[in-house]
Formats: sequence, C-alpha cells, structure tokens
Amino acid sequence: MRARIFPGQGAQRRGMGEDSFEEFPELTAQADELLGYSVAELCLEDPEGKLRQTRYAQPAIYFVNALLHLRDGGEPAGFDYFAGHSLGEYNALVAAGMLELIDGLELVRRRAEAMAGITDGAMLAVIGLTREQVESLLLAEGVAAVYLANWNSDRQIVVAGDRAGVRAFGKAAAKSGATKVTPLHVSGPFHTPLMNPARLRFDDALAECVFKPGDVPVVSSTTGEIVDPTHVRDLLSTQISTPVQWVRTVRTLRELGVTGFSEVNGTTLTKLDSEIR
Amino acid sequence: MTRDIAIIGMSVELPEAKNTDEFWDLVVTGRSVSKPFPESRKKDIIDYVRYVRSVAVKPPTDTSVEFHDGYFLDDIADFDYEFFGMTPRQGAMADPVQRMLMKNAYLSLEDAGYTGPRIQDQNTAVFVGYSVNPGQTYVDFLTRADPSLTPLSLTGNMGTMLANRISYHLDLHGPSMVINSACSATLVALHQAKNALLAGDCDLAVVAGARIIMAPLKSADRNIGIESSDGLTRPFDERADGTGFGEGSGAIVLTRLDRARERGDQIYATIKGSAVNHDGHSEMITSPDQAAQTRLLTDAWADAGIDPRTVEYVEVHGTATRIGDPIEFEGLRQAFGRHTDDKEFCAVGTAKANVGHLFEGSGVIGVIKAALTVKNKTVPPMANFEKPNPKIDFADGPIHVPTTAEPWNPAGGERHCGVSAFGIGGTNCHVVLGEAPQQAEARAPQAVDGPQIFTLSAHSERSLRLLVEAYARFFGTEAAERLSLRDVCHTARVSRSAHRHRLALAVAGIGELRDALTALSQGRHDDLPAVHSNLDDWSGPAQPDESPLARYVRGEDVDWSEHEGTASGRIVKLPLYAFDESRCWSPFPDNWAERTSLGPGPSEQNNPVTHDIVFLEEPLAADWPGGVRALALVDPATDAEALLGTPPSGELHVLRLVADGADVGAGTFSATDESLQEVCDHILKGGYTHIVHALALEDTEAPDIQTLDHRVTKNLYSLFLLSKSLMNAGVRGRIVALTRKACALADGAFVAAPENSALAGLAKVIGREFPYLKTRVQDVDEHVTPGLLWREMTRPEPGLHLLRDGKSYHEVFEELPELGTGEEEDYLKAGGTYLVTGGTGGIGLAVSEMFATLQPDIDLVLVSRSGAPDRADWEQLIANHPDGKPARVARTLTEIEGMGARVHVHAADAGDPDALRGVVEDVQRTFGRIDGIVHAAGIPGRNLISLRDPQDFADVVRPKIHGAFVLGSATADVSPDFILHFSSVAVVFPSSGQGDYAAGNYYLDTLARMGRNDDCHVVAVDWVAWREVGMAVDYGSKLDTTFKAVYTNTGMGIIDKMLRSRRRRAFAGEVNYDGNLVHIFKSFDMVLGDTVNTKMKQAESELRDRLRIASEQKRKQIDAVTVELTGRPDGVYRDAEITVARCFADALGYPTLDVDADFFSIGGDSLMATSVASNIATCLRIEFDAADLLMERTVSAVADTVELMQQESAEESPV
Repeated sequence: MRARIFPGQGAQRRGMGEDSFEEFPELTAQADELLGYSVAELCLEDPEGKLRQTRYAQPAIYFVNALLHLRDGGEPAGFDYFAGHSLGEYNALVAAGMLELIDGLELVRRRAEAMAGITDGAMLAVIGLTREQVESLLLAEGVAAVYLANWNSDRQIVVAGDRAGVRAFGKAAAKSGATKVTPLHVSGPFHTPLMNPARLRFDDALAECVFKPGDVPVVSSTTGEIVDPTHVRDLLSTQISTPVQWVRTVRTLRELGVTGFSEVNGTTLTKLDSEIR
Repeated sequence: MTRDIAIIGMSVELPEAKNTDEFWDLVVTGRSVSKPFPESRKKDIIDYVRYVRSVAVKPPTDTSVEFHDGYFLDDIADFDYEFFGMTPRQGAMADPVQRMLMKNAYLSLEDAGYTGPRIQDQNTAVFVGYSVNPGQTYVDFLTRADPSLTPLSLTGNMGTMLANRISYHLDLHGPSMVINSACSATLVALHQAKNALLAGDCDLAVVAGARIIMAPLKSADRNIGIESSDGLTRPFDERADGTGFGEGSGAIVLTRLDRARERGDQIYATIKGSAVNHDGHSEMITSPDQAAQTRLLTDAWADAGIDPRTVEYVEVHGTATRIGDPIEFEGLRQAFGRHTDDKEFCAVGTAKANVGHLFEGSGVIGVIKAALTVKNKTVPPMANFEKPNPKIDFADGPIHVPTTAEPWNPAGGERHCGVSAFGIGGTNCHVVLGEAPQQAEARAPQAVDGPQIFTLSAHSERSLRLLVEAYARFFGTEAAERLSLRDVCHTARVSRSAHRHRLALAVAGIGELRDALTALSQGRHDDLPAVHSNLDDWSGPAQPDESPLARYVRGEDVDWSEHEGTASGRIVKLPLYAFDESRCWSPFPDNWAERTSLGPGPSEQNNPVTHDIVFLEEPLAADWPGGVRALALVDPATDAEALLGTPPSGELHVLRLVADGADVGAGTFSATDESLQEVCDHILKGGYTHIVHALALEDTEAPDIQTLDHRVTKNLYSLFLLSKSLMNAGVRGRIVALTRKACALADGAFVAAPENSALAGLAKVIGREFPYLKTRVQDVDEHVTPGLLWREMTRPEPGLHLLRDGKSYHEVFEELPELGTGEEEDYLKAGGTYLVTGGTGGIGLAVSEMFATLQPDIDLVLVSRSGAPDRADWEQLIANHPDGKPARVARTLTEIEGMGARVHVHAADAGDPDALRGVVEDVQRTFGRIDGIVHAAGIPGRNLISLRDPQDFADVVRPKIHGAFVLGSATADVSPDFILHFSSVAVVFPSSGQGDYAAGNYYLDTLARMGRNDDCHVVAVDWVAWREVGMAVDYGSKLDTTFKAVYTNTGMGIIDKMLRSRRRRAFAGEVNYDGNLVHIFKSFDMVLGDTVNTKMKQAESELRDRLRIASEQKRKQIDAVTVELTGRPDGVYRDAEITVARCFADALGYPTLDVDADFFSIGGDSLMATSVASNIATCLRIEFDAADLLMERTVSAVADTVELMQQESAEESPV
C-alpha cells in the first residue's frame, strides 16, 4: 500500500513549485486574492527574503504542496493513506477530501498569523541522541521551559521553548555527544505549550471552517493515529502546542501495511523515514 | 603448504638514506652517519629545554645546554598533511613518529603494489612497534607550555593511533595494534604479523616502527647508562662503550609466500620462522640474559625448520654496550654449539653501526637490512669495526665480523640469516629469513601487442611533477633496463592509487616512455606523443575523445581490463610516491617566560564545612502596584476567604474546593489531576496575573496520619498538580502559595502546621524548572491584614517569606563556622536501643558504625526497604562477591557486631506508615525502649514537575513526610533522646527535578526548628552530596559542583558534634568558591549572607583577573596569525570575519580560508571546536562556545552571530 506524505515548514526554498502555478492559473489567482500578494512571486523570486518568515512560509508551502499533489493526478484513488508533518497535515486533509483547498489556505494563513505572533522562543534540532537522552537533558543546569517539539526520527529530535533554556540545552546536548545541533529558522517555540496563546487565537478561525468526512484515511502527525473526521477541529488546534509525532505517524502507516511513501515538494520526510525503525 | 612468509614491500627513512636503495648503499659501503645534532632542530627545541629546566623543582646541577652526537634526521618537521587527510594544524600537532610511520607504511604498501585497487580485496593488518620515551615525546613538547593544546593533540599523539591512523587513512580492516616491548618491539610486531597471517587473521600485514629524539641532551642527570660517549655505535669492537642514538623509520609488507607467488608479487626475502621469549627472573630486569638468548635462537631455528649450520649471517642486536655484546656472543656460541662445532662460519653485522640504535624501531630496520642482504646476495661489512672486543673469543665461536662487503655464496645451497632484538625489560625476539624462491617460471618477456598505457597520479600537482622527474630518472638507470614495458605499465596502472592529479599516455617502449617523461619534466611538450593530463601545461591539444586515457585523467575509475594496451603483467619495483611536504611544526611559544605565570591562583581560604539558613527581616513593600487580576483556590474548611478579603484594587476570582468525588460545579474544583487541569484551562483563558494557592491554611498540627495524608494530598500534591498543568499549558504568571505558621522563624518558634512547610520546598523548584512561573510562598501569622497580605504576596521576589507581627522575613544562607553550642554531653547510652531508617544504605551503615564505635553496648535496629542478607550467608557473600552491595552490608554489619553492638534488621518501607509504625511498636515491645532515632531513608527526586508521575512524586515525599511523622508520633510516649533527620541541600539550592525531594526535606527542617514538647532533641542536617557513600554515588551524580562533596569522616564528625551539643539544624557542605560556578548560586531563590557574598565576589574577581591575563595572551596569539580570506568577489571582509578567520586558522593552520567554508568539512573536529570557540569568545569578548560553533559553522556565519551578540550586549550594558 502507498501513502502520500506532505512536508511542513522548513521545506520552503526559493524556486519551489516552478511550472505549477501556470498549470493551475485559477487556483493561483484565488490564492493571490486570498493572501493579498502573488504566491508565485513569493515562491519563485522571493525578492524581499520573506520565504523564511513563518507568516509567508506556511501559506506558500501549503499551496505548493497542494499544487504538486494535483499535478500528480490529484485523485485520492492513487493512495491508500495520507499524512503530513505539522503544516503538511492540512494538505493531507485536503487530499483526503476532508477540507477544500482554498478553505485550507485561509486556515493556514490564519494559523501562520497566530503562530508568528509568538516570538520569544527558539527551536533546535538535535541529531544523534535518543529520546531518553534528550529527556534527561531537560534536567540539565539552566535548561528550563524547554520541551520536546518534534519526534522526527530515531536520530532527530527537535526541542523548543524559552530562548535561554534552548540555548543551554544546545550546549548540554553538544557536550553529551550530539552529532549535530542546529537552530531552526522559525519565529517561536512551535509545538510547545508556550504556543497556547496562538492556539486560542486560531480556534476562532477553526470554528468558522467546514470539514467533511473525506474519502481516504489520514494518519495524524499530532496523534500518530487515524484522524477521526468528527474531531478535526480539536486536532488542528492541539497540533499547534503539542509535539509532532512523526515517528509514530510513520510506524502507524507501516503497521497499516504501507510500504511505499511518496513525498511531494522535496525529500525532507523521505530522509526521516529511513531513520525510523 | 608452505608456512613461509614473503616480504613483498619495504620502505625506510633514515639519515642519508631516503629509500631502500640508498640504505643498501650505506650498508654495503660500511658507512656510519653519526653527526652533531642539526642546528635547525636545536633552534626548534632550545626554548622548550630552557622552559623545562626553569620549572624543575630541583634545578639541574649542570645548566649548560649541550647535545649528544648521534644518527639524526636533518628534519622531522616536514610532512604532506593534505595527502594524509589532515589539516595543516592537525599535521603540526601530530607526533613526528606518527607522521613518519604513516608515510613509510604507505610507501611500503606502494612498493608492494598494494595501494591501488588491489588493496581493496585484501584484509590488511597493521602492527606497529612503539615505546613511549618519557620527557622526549612531541606531546610533552606541545602541552607543557600550553596545556590547552591537549585535546587538539590527542589523536596525533596517542600511542594506539600510530597503528590505528594508518588503518583509518587507508581504510584497512585487519588487526591494527601497537606492540610495546622496548627495543624488540618492531621485531615482536613482525612475529605477531607472521602469526596473524598464518592464522588467517589477515591477508596482508604492514609492520612498522619509528623513533625520534626530541632533545638529545648531554646531561649527567639524564643519562641512562647505555649512551655511547661520542655518539658512535661500535658493536663487538674494542672501543665499544655504548650505543649511538638513531632516528628514522622503516616499514615492511608481509603476506603468505604461496599467496605472493599466486599474485605475482615481488619478493625481497622470506620469513621462515621466528620466536619470542622473556629472560624471566634474570639477574636484573634491565640486563640481558644469555641462557634466554640461546633458547630463543634454537626455538626460532626449530620454528623455521632449518639446519642452523646453514645460517651464515646474523643481524645481531649489537648495542655495543660493555655487558651486552659479550652476552650476545655467548648466546650465539652456545646455541650454534648445540648443532655444530664449526667456527667462524657465520658473519654478523648490525645496522646500528650504520644508522644508530633506533630502540623500539630497530627491529624492522634490521629486517630490512637482512632482506636486502639476502636479495643482493652480499654480506655487508660491520661499520666502525677495527679491533675485536678483547672480552670476546671469536676464534672459539661460530661468528666472525666482516669488515668488507663479500659476495654471499652459501655453503648449504640456500641463504639463511637471522635478526635479533632484545628489549630492555627482557622480551627477546629472533627471526629467521631465507631467500625468495627461484622464479623458474618467470615468463620469458612476452611480446607485447602494440603500445601500452602508462599512468601516473598524485594528490597534489607538485607531487605529480616530482613523480614524473623520479620516473624519468629511474628509466635512465640500469635497474630499469631489465624491466619489460608490459610489467611497468601494469604495475603503474593497477598497483597505485588513482589520485586527483593525473597523467596517462600510450607508449610503445620504455625508451619512448623515458623520453616523454623527461620532456615533460623539462617543460618541453612540443614533440610529445599524445599525453593526457589534467595539469594544464601538460595536456596536449584539447581532445574531446572518450578514450580510457581521457576518462582516466578526467577523474573516472577506469576498468583497464576492458581496453587495449593494458596487458597484465607482474608487479615490479618502480619509484615510490613523492610527497608534497611542508613544515608542520607547532613552535614552542617564544614568550614562554611570560606565559608561565598567569598571576596569583585562587586565594587559599579557610571555608567552613557548615552553614545555616536563618530568617532575617526585610523591608515591607512600599506601596501597592495595582494591576492585579488574581485567581485564588481556597479551602472553605479554612478561613482563606476572610484572610484574603479583597485586593486593594484589581480583581479577585475565587474557586472553592469541594471534596474528592463531589460534583465540581461552577466556581469549584477538587484537588484531583483532572479538576486541576480544568482549573488550568480556565487560567489559560482567563489572563490572570496571580494564581493564589490558598489551601494550606490550617492552624493546628495534623493530629494523626490520616489528617496528615489528607493535608499533603490537598495542599502539597495540589500545588504539584497545578504547577504541572500550568507548565504543560505554557501559562505565564505568578504563583503565590499561602501557608499559616507552617515555618519556624527561629529555633523553638511556634509552628502551627509544619507539614504545610513542604510547599516551600516545592515552590523553589517550580520557578527553577519553568522561569515563566515565579513562585512565592507567603507564610502568615494571625496579625496579618488583607491589605498587608496583598501588598506582600504580590511582590516579585520569589522564595519563602514569613510575615510575623507585621514584619517580613526571608531566608538567608550564611556561614556557620562553629557547630558547638557551649555545652556538650554524650548522647548514646549503654544498653540503649537505636533505630536507623535507611539503615542498610551507605550513610545509614556509616552512622551505625560510628554509634557502635562510640558506645558498643547498644542494640541497633536497622530499617530498610531491602532488608539485609541472611546472617547465615554473610561469610560466604563477603568471600565470593566482595564488591557487591550485599557483601558490603554484610561486612559492615559483621564489623559492627565485632565491636560488641547487637544488630537487628527489619525490612520495611519508611514511606509506608503502617509498616513503619509496626516496626517501632515491635522494637518497643522487644526492647522496652527507643533511645534515639536516625531517619536516613529517602528516594531521590529524578524528574521535571512537568513530566512527573503523581505516584512517583508521592513515592519520594512519603518516606520523608509520612515517615518522619510516624517516627515522631509513635515515640511520643517513650521520648527518645534524639531524632536525627537527614535533610538535603535541595531545600536551599534545589536542582531541576527535585520538587518532590525538596518538599519532603523541608518538612524535616521545620520539625527540627520547632522541636518537641518533651526533652527529645530533634536535629536536621541539610546534606550536600556525599563523596564515598549514599544517593549521589549510587545514582552516579556529579559530586563536586557548587558544593564540595562531603567525606564520610567529615559527615560523621558533624553528626557527632550536633548530637553532642544539641544543635538543631545545620547545612553541611563546603561552598565551592570556584569563580566559574558562582553564577549558579545567584540563580536560586535564596539570599546570600554577607560573608558568603563577599567570598563569592572575591572568587569572581580573582577569576576575572586570571581570565583577563589569559585573554590578553590569547588575543596576542590570535592577532599574530596571518590568514588570507577568500570567497568574496569584492575582497571586502568585516573585522569580525578577519578575527574569526584567525581563530579558525590558528586551529587548522590554513594560510587561506574561504569565508563560507564549513569549519567541520575543512578538517575541524569537535575537539578543536572547543578551543576555537573559546578563542572566538576571548578575542571578540562575547559568550561563544563549541555548541555555538556547531550551529554557525562558517567564518561569515560566525561573524554574523558575533555582531548580533555584540549589539545585544551593547544594548544591555548601561550607558
């Protein structure tokens, strides 16, 4: 069985979605109108270097993910499951028929606004330490208000939280033998409780949105379980302030019999998949 | 199947002998190359010598600096670091011994024809003989003046790397090890290699050794008694008075003879057998032993399966010492004497006479010489030999000393020879060599069909040019004339690595090849055949062809077997690789005299081991700031709401507690996880500034364990669960926990509800783990008014604050130099009964032992969860598993009983009130008395509040709070003389993860302060980690941190003193006034007393002074680095970039650096990162460490961060 998987923030790069915008002129025009700027120009030229900013990166990635999926045929029939990493989960819901593409873009726009509003925090990817090692480092001197934010693979874990705490964590991790410690270019401590104010703000947007039962099951990166179509609102709300469970997502898909993972817009997740046992 | 081993490749580097040809020439002409220590090398080390002498505690008697003569290399600094995958700095940091070994190992493999594709199929081993020469190593030289180089120098100077780095660089997977048996080391390494080959552990084996002498000082103080007076080695000569020191390196490649023949390898000689033995308990450990040498020779001959009479040459150990030579002669005489009466049939010699004694490197040099002797069928003369040593009767022995080179015509048909080496510690080795089998099947030079493809490649352009020159020269020699074009081209193509700079051409004959290479080397290329090369000036007219030659020079892997002009042949001897060497040397700092002093060290202080926490008055809040929006959790069973009244302004919302299980409606909550999570959601949405935990306001002591348990659940656990939920919801705000007379202002002060003081311990940890939730505990008395309460409890200072009679008090940490209180009395009664909880733990046992020592006539009742091993098993446990915990328990209990005390062990959990009460009652029934109690039971806190399981939290709290309560209440009638509680540093300076532990222990402190109504002396000591026993040791925690760990003896002294003088409380732990740690103290919610504060300031200031001096020196060092930045078209670089580049270059050694080059991909490693980051921090005056460098890896990225940080710090500093 095959699953289509969609990456989230971090997949952005200048030039993404090349050729796709022309292929879907109507959708692109709708997106431009909704966003108030040219999404193609943002993705292809990025003249002001905005693609790194959460506010712009999230709608851009979401939209390019969606177009690239449509280009591949777009019919859900080709895949047995959908899943997405954090933001990519919105694409999975669209692909599965639970959410309209343009409705999703509006949600993502407001999600990005809300998340970009939380600025006093940091995220850090840690390569080469186990989850247990990472958890024990949360006790290290000076590490406070730091949380496990993404469980990406057996080797890669992202922590996030208070800036000073994350900094202390990075040092402790490097001392404990992490092979690489990389700060992520994001504005806030995503996927931690410190994002709760953003989550509350975003709940208003969710309340206005309509979700449908869908045609194909989606495995959620928030729970690692199959999405219950009647609880999508809660799920997307929770997602903002709880860790991304990508390892569990992949394991669940495999347990369901998925052997082929097909990623759009880069290979970020495909690389992670090979590091998950 | 033959057991013979073939020597198929060799390389040497010796004074005046850069390869085996030059070495043989030196040997066969009988030259001896001893000379004065080279001037350039004197310059390199003279400062080091002076430095070592200047810091010697006992200055040398002779202050002149004179050097021995010896067999020295002119240069030990040059090295092709890039070829061996090192940065210039790594190259300069690597021991010259390692560098020579890598070089010669590589050359020997190339000589054997195994560096190209052919080695990939071989399981190749590396055996290096080595021995450390203390005080003479490169790492001493590097790190004596600058210990900070230690990490950088590690991989270049560790003994094991001598072999391992060769395996690593060449990707060899066979055994890789260093063998140390002193002067016999490389010969023993060969013996091991032979055995490994025969055992099938490997297909190929490199055996190598090397030696340098950093500083061959002439000094009576340092002589070891074997040095030659004039630096010459004269073995077996009348004038022999010691050995001349030699330098250099040698390497050989071995494989099984049958395999070598199968594969068409060249064979210098064979190894027919070998033996290793030891002198045993001989006369002295350092003196040679004739009997062992005799046995060694006969064993080696037997192993080789040869007739000893056929051995006509022996490369003797021959160190030319007064006792060594005669003993060796006698060993040879007796060994040969067992097989033949013939005299003087065996020639002897030793390379030590030509090139000096290379000690651990000497064995392989001897083997190379012997192999050349066999191959060249010539017995070389013994250098420096004029008159025989009169102590040796040559006429009566088997050996003679040749003084001229003679053709070797073996009497027995086949040439056999031997090589000996004897280690100073008594390990002897002898190897028997034979000649390569006649190559009867040597194919007649087959006609070659058409031109053959010849290839050459090198890692650097310069190396390739040097190689072309070397080949051009080689093809003009006699040796080359005997070679076939087919073999030459085959060897060049398949037995050499393909490096990145390449040359290929097709030639019809060796003459044509010689002419082409000569033309190239002379810069003529007009009349050349089609030469393909990626060197610009060598490539002919652009040929866009797809020929294998073109593809080869483009960098592709070409499978030559598929192409014409690539007939296969034999591996033959061709010139070896020409390294592109440059000076790799870490100069001894010429400003060493300034560097040796960094100003005064930390001042010696007498710091007390004991401290105390006292409550001191603090000013009241001046005014009411307003802006408060508070949510209070109240217990309607108390007067909480009346106490709070209403805030002077702002809002107060109240949630009222309902009993567990009751319906939680609007405006209520219950002290359960679920309900408190809902409270948390409410807080998250409600935007409160203060969360007031107003539940713990009881004003009487819990009368029974049920009430106590109820209060702990309602008050302490609710604060835990609430703060856990708040942290997990990311709520920011202030928590105020209210208590009423839960803490004692001073010893003996009235306390209403001591169990509620546990909240103070927990509160200190909440803010530590989650800085967005600062937590204040406000303990009030009956005189507080709502106005005062609101003003005080909303103040920003976290920590514990007491309001008493309208005044505010806070905790202050201060020294307590004197534990005594004036009066002292014994506290242990003869015939008394003493109860110890945690009794079989390390500390419980130590206390029991001390009690038994002071008063043997006592009954000790030890209570612990695990109990003790069965008394019947003690003896066996101690004998069979002496290091296990049960044996330690059994041993101590045996000792305690040996003193006369009576031990009784009860297994019971101190956290289980019923079980503990049962033990206490049982003891009272049995002994009718309890005279004293030690409460040492405890489980450490080990997790963040946000991740802590409520049951785990309770498991830590209960042995402390419930346990202490039971011990107190159950002994109210019997009134013991004392109850000693073991509390913890966590109540004062808790770490993250100690919320539960701090809470439990705070209660113990309060019990001690308030005391009891009867005469029982209640004591609590806040312990830091113990060094030898206890929790920190059991759980592997770090011992010396902000406090120095306590020695058991010191701890026992404190306990004894406190019990004796009836002191109630103390903090036991010496502050570690280390300037680097002082900042940690400031991060706690605890005020430091004047004395402690003054000492900390002093430590900080001393640290600053030392750092300032060190930084100035560091900055000077970095400023002196010259490095050119590249990578930006406009050539404009910022100041920060230039400084960062200097720091990179200081570690890596590059003369030029790209601003966007990743530190870790141009050779930086994590060890270097530490020192580079610290240099960046120093030079640019910012906080920057290795973790930062892991994140920002290029000169430009680091400079970006640096500038950002500099801006930040400018903004922070007052203007």
